[in-house]
Amino acid sequence: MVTTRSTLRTQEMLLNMGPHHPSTHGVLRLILRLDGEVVEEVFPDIGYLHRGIEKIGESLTYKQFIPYTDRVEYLASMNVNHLYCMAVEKLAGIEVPERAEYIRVIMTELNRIISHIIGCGALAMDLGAFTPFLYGVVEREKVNDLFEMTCGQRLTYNYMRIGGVSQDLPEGFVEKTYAFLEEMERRWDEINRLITENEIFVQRLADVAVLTEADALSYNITGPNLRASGVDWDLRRDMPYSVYDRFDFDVPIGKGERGTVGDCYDRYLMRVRETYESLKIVRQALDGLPEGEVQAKVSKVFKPPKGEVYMRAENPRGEMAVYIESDGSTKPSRIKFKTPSFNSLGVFNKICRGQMLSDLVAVIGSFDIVLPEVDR
Amino acid sequence: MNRIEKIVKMIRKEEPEVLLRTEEEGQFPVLRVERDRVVPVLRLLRDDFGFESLMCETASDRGDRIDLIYHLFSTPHRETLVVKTVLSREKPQVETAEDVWKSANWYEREIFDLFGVEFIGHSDLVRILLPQDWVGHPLRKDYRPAPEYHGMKIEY
Repeated sequence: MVTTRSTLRTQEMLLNMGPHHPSTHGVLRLILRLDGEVVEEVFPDIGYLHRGIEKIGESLTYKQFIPYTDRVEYLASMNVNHLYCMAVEKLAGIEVPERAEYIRVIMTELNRIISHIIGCGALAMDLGAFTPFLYGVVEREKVNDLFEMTCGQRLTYNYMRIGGVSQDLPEGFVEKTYAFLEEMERRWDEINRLITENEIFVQRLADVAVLTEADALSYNITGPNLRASGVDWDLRRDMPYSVYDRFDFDVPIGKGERGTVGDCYDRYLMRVRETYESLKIVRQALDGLPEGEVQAKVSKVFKPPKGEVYMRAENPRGEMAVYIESDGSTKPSRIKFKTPSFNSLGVFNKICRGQMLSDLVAVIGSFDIVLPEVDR
Repeated sequence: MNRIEKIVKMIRKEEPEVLLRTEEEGQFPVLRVERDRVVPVLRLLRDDFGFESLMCETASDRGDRIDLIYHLFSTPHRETLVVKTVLSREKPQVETAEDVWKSANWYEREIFDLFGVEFIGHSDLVRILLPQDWVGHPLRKDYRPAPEYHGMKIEY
């Protein structure tokens, strides 16, 4: 008898993917129930990187906590810095000088660019294309140099302060950033030529792990992953914070160009296109950079009034939010980080059913999950 | 009548005596809801007022009680609404919101893990961030870690 798929005797198998697996982008363990190569169920086991940042926050003053926010998500530290400072400023009613707001936008968008470089590059690398990642990292180094010039750090920046930024831009920063924008645009075109239209790459991503609009909203998937499912929503455009209302940029939406709306390819494409938009925003912010102070007056012993605040920001992986409760003392009584990758992982069991085991790698990469952010 | 007044009126009609009080002076309007009926109110908000996502569900230990805080968001109306309910510290129990929003599944596992709140009817209420055999709920204000975990000293 010829063995076909219908006559083949298969047996269910439980398989551990991780905690140490090259494509899990950190320490993540997926417990898989497999039928042959087909995934029946996925149980993400998280918490390997839990550091209790929320608990630590309760024993530190508002200013002391800023370096910890870098560690919530190390690939987009500037964005988390920005979010936390905005939340505390909202709580205490502090006005940030205009120049500081512009500098913050420049920094967060540069950070978004290098975060998307890693996101897209790592996805390509997981699928076997090694070169784009290395090309991307060359550009990322240039941004790291810019950040190092500004605040002395290359990964955990601790640059923003409550009421502004720690120091003004160094001499030569603006020129170097303009130069970077030009090089980056060329290089991003080049990386795209290598993979975005590459038929093998497209076949690995198109129609894989489709996330519908209704599921995306119910699971509260945000950012590029939400837009890939066809929802026209970007916090920067629709509920602008900081000075985002002054810039002109487009919001790419998933249209299912090579497959279905909300598949892995759409999620990848959102990041590619968003990077161009971020380049546009940085250019506009540099053009309009006003003169002036970079730090508002904030008392040494900082005590915000009693109350609570919930602040959201559009981070590279989606909307991150911080919830702070203040009892009027120097330390917050509760800090909660709501992180986008946590929600992204929550949807895995729903959308990975029926996918091939090898496609799971593409799903993890396409959601651009960063584990320290999930575990906090 | 603005939308929040409409919401309050509707809840008073559908679920009388559930709404304890509303607060409008903060960043977002807050509805304080009685613990036993919080999930029906959330379902009403989702179905009739377009709050199609639960952005955040978290808890806070206020010393004498545990506050449970839901942050709801409606994309078409660009509106945020906060729903709060109060749980006892000794035996914190509340119905799960998992059937209303899928995202609540993991949020509630996290709250169970870090605060020890029991969500009745939850499909998979196990610890999510900490090891399954961890003792205690760290985000409670009176939490003291055990001296050691499997022979490893816990110091901080």
